Amino acid sequence: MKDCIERVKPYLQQVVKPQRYLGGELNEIKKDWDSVQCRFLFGFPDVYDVGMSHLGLQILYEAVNRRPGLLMERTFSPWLDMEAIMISQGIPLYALESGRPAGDFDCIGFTLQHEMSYTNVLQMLKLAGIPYWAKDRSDRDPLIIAGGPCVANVEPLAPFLDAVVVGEGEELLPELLEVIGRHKAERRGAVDKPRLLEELAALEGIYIPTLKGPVIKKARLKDLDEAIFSLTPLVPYIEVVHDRMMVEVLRGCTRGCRFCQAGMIYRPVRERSKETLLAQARALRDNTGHNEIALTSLSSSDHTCIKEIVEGLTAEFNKEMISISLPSLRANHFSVSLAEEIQKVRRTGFTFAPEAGSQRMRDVINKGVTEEALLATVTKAVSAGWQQIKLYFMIGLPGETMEDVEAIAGLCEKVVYAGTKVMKEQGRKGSLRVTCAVSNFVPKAQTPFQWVGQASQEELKARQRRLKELIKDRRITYNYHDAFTSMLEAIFARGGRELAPVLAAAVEKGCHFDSWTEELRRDSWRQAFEELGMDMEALATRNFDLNSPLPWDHLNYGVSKGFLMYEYNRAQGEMISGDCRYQGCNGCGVCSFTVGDAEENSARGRRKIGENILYGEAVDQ
Amino acid sequence: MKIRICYGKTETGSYLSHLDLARTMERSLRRAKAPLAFSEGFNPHPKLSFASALAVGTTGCREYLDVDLASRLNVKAFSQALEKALPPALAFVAAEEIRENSKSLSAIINLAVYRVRVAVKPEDEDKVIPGVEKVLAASELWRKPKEKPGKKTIPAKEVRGLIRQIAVIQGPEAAAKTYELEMVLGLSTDGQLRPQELWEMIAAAGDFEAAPPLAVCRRALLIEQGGKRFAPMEGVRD
Ligand code: SF4
Repeated sequence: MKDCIERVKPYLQQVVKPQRYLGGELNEIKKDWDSVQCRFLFGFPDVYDVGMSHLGLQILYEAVNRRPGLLMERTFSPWLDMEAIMISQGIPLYALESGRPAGDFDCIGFTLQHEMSYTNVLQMLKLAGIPYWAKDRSDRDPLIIAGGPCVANVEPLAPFLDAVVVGEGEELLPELLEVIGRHKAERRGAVDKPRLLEELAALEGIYIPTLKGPVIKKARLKDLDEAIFSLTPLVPYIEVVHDRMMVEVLRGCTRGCRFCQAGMIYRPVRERSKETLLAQARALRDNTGHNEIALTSLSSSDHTCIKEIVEGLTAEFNKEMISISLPSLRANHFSVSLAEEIQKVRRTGFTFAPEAGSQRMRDVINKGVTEEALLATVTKAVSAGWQQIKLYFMIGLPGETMEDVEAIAGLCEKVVYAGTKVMKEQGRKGSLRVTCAVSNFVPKAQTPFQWVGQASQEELKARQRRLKELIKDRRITYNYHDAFTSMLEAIFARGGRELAPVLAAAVEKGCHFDSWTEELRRDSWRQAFEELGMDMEALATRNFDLNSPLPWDHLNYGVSKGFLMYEYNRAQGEMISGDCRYQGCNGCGVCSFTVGDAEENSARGRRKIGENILYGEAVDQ
Repeated sequence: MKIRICYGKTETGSYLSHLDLARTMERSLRRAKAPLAFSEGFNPHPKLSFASALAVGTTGCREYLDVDLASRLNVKAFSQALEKALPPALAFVAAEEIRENSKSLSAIINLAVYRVRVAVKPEDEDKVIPGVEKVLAASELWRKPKEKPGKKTIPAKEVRGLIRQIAVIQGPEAAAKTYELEMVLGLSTDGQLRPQELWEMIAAAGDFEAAPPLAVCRRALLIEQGGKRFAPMEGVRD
């Protein structure tokens, strides 16, 4: 039977959240299978509720389905209860729209949002009955492709993939699918894979792992206002992680935090205009009925017109009891006024990310926030009525000492005292509650810290313990990340193709859903590495020589290696670098990437483009 | 202004939990531009009150919901808008204005009509009707206590009084080994009998094995008063 949805129905009473497996949501698009030239299946390597919160899925759904010759359907990792049923009943991975097996599609594309989802990609191929290794697949198997931020270093997965979308996919993916469609049409539905891959390689931004060739330049949108956006997104029935409408206010960030991959690979900054945003928000409200709208981006309060946008939205949406959320606020007074403006309907906690406890460490990572600014912001937020603050920190940062770690506890205490003092003065009962969330630094490709090894497991755990000892105040809730998970992330974030057999072995041993801590099979992972003669800790902690080639050198995200090196040097000198939107161009290289962007992107820069470039030519261009 | 909405839950909708249903309904009402009234407080929510919740996996033909509105609306225009706004999981049946002081749906609805499709083994074919007859002839029937790990055990309960009618709609000659049972069950604040439980009781009485029903549909929710039965809404006939 073709329709796998019919086949899973008898078992739906036995699984949690059966709606995950049925599709049929509002705004679902079901296209006629035979009316198109290329059928694309979007695979999200995690459960439905996580995948459906992903804005990229909604954008691609629109971008692909709006083309008459293409269709896109969705599939997600089935949760373990359903997975066991599918395996025992011989039901393959299937698409939610048509119920067709994944293997029926011309192309399956996975989004790589984080390293811990890699095993799910393989597990999904396994459930689909498609060989993992690209070399083992026939011309009749779907073409397996990937995109997303982890493509910044995709080498650990490269042997499993036929093609990779480097950079922003909303224009490039439909183009790629059109090429597949034309290729098949010319051959009466057959595929000549080596030829097809060569045709795909001709597209800018497509990386073909089996082809040795020039450096691949990332694909990128010129104008966010012109970009495809879905005004009729899918609206899930069940509660998903982010249950709200989303508008993307800007893309890219040039604050220049040295650990941040997104801040490097999504440059330059492109804003969506206030008019476009308000029109999109209204359409989304009418087409979804959500009661919350999120203004998403890496740093939404950096939009030059954010105040006007927020005022425009509140004026219309507050009376309809639609709340507005602005994730990723910066610690300054402006953020508090913005938050006051938007949280009139529903009030949530306040979140800041100082990332490090000491000023020295914040200078090393180029997080431009001072203790005074943070405390002043907290004071203002508390006097405006907030009584919960969440602070994000990282430990294991390059050059970090135990003193820097201890400063995290100190800063949290200062925040509690400052906030509680305000509450007392205002005659309010209780005290400020602070959540101190501490993650472990993971060095990432295409960042200034790409050469630095991760702190050892022992060091990470010692630092976590030290914080636990120090944070005794009952008003502070301390939580921290699993060190083993961070080690795996570090290994895959900077590893090469030699890791592919490890992934395959781990999946064979049952590893997947590794980001779900209770599902992480540490022993199986250790065994998989051991059997292939690899030392996990050594891989995670290794430092790369500045002059030696890196596994991701052939992918060019526009930011030059020379700039990353320069920033790494400044980090070691504890020197901060300004934001090019306000302090002039730092010469990262992205603006000379496509001629004509430079002035535009440094619109507020006081200096000329490239004026303060202090180092030699970019090595990878 | 208060309105009462009658809607159906399709097969897709039958897998929604009660919370999912409430969320889906709120969004649909917003898309239909209903002027919702909201509760006060830190986390304002619209005032929706549903008739008794359906078990997961059960479809519904005529389910009900009351909604508080902040201003008046034209019911006809609103009905059209809501019909368009409902997602594939839900189907619009009717809407009408009700008095501000109308009693809640859960206070007035006291009967539920279910249609249950079941299959039995060929050798048990002749045992279904006797099973039904035995259940109807019994003067008392006890439901077994329900134990769930980590939860309080629900004690055994006498439920014969909740069973009002059982009709075998399709016999073995209509479709081999498949029966459709219509069950009219009482709903009271201190307890309900689920159609599946009744099916198990019929099987126990008829001495055969009860496979889980193939499909369960709640066809109607009714008010029984003074020997008469009627729908909670004028525009709906059963
Ligand atoms: S090239 Fe200069 S202006 Fe453009 S993003 Fe890089 S640092 Fe900023």
